[in-house]
Amino acid sequence: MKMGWRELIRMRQRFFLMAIVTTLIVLLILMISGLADGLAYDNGAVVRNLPIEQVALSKDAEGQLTRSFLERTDQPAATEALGVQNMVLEKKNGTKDDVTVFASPGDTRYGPRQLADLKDGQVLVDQQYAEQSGTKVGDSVTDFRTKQTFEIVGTVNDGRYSHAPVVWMTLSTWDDWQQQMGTDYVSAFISQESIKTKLATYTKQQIVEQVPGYAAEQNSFQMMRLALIVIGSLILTAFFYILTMQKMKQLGILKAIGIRTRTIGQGLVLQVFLLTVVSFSVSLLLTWTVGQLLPDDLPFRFEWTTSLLYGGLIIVTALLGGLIPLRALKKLEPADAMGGMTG
Amino acid sequence: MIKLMEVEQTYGAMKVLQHVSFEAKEGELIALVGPSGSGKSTLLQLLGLLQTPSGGKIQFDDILLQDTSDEQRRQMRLLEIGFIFQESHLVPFLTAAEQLELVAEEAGHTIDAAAHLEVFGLRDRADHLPQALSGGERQRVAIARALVNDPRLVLADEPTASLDYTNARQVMELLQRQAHEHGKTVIVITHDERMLTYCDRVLRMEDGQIQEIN
Repeated sequence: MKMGWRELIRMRQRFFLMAIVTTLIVLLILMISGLADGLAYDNGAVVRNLPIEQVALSKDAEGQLTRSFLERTDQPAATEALGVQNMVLEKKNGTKDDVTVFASPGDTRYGPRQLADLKDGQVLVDQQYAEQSGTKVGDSVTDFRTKQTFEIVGTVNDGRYSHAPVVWMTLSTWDDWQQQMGTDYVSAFISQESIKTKLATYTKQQIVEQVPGYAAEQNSFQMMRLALIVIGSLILTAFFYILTMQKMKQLGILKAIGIRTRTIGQGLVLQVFLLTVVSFSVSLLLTWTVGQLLPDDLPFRFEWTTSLLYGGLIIVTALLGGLIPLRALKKLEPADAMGGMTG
Repeated sequence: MIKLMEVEQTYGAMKVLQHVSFEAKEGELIALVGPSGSGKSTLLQLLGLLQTPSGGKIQFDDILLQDTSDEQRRQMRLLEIGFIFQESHLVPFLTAAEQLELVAEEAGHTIDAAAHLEVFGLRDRADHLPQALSGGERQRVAIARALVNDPRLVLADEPTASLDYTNARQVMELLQRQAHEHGKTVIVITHDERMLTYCDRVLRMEDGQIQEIN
């Protein structure tokens, strides 16, 4: 161990380059993770924030809120109705935006608190959307299809569904809007307990995973993360392998004078461990800092648990990679490593 | 102390050593001379338990080396044999004192490295890395490292080859003292005939065969 530590400290220039490469690889993995987690959160933020246990949808909706059409007569006991529908919002200046309408009874705990104060025709919009689109409290917006006008009376945080901003309204306003379109349905029945019904039921997480585009997006990120971990591990393994192979003559001399393979190996493993731990810690700090500096509209989310999980995975794979040269070290014949059999 | 009986070493079809027999006793400083490719280094590696012979027997005290395990041979290399190489082959990131401590600690000993180095005139170099030492100093550290576990057999492969005459003489005097004053068996490969005056016996290798020169 002492030998490995002394080499790390006294040959730090050699290890510095490796530490930089390791840090960059881990940083890339953590940044991609941060973006994936940010997008995952952004995609279903509004659903995640709903204090619900189970959701009942029509059987042919395949778990998607916007595909579910339910008659209120089918509403199970101890549930509340939820309306979810896409809408094209037209602002006063004529520009249009795609939003998702969420409607729940204004007098329940489901949805933002301000819902309780909403009157008919009034809506709440996602704060980020309000800032980006320049809409303000007091402005009126129009549904492009029905030409029904709504008054914006407040904003909500984390109001995104399938990356589109959410517009909250009461079920009463929802009903008026649906009548304009000649329909009379709600999208889901929600509860904080298990729902007994013949309808299809889902957990909150299942609903999030069925948000349009969520699975495809997360699968892509998952592939990227996996590829980065595999490529990163291979690069680190190759680095440590080359580093050890470069020292084979020196290690052969040590074996020749009776130093145990275990003593040499412990030093090498310590170096791999310290190098990856330090690089990971630096990457973690950099990722957290970047997360703080990025603008709010960039969906980036720094999760300690995810980051530590990936860090642990990198450290373990680097250690496993570091064990490969140990096999070569074990098989190393001091005489071969030293050469000099020509004399 | 160490005895070779009809030792042979072959690599494929190439016979590097043929019917090599000799005995080295305690307190002897033996020179091994001969042209390049004559088998000197191979013989030294066999004596140092770094190779096993293709034929014949090597006996260390009462132990037949063919009967020993890898671990036994490693322990013998650590405790009973001291190696000195042509180029000191010190660990580049360890100070002179740490070079000695590494070998001593591996044997389970705690040493006063500075005191050991003082014997070789290197006390003030104890905290220096090899790169900060001169060629002669490096070789003396290598000798100190080879002797730190008080081995009975010292093997030196051209220890003076990279040194000037003054430093080479110092090294040979050190080795001679180890043999004559401390009773160690010292076997030295050398190409420098001037160094033969320090040796008690001279063995000449030629085409894998050994011959004693008086």
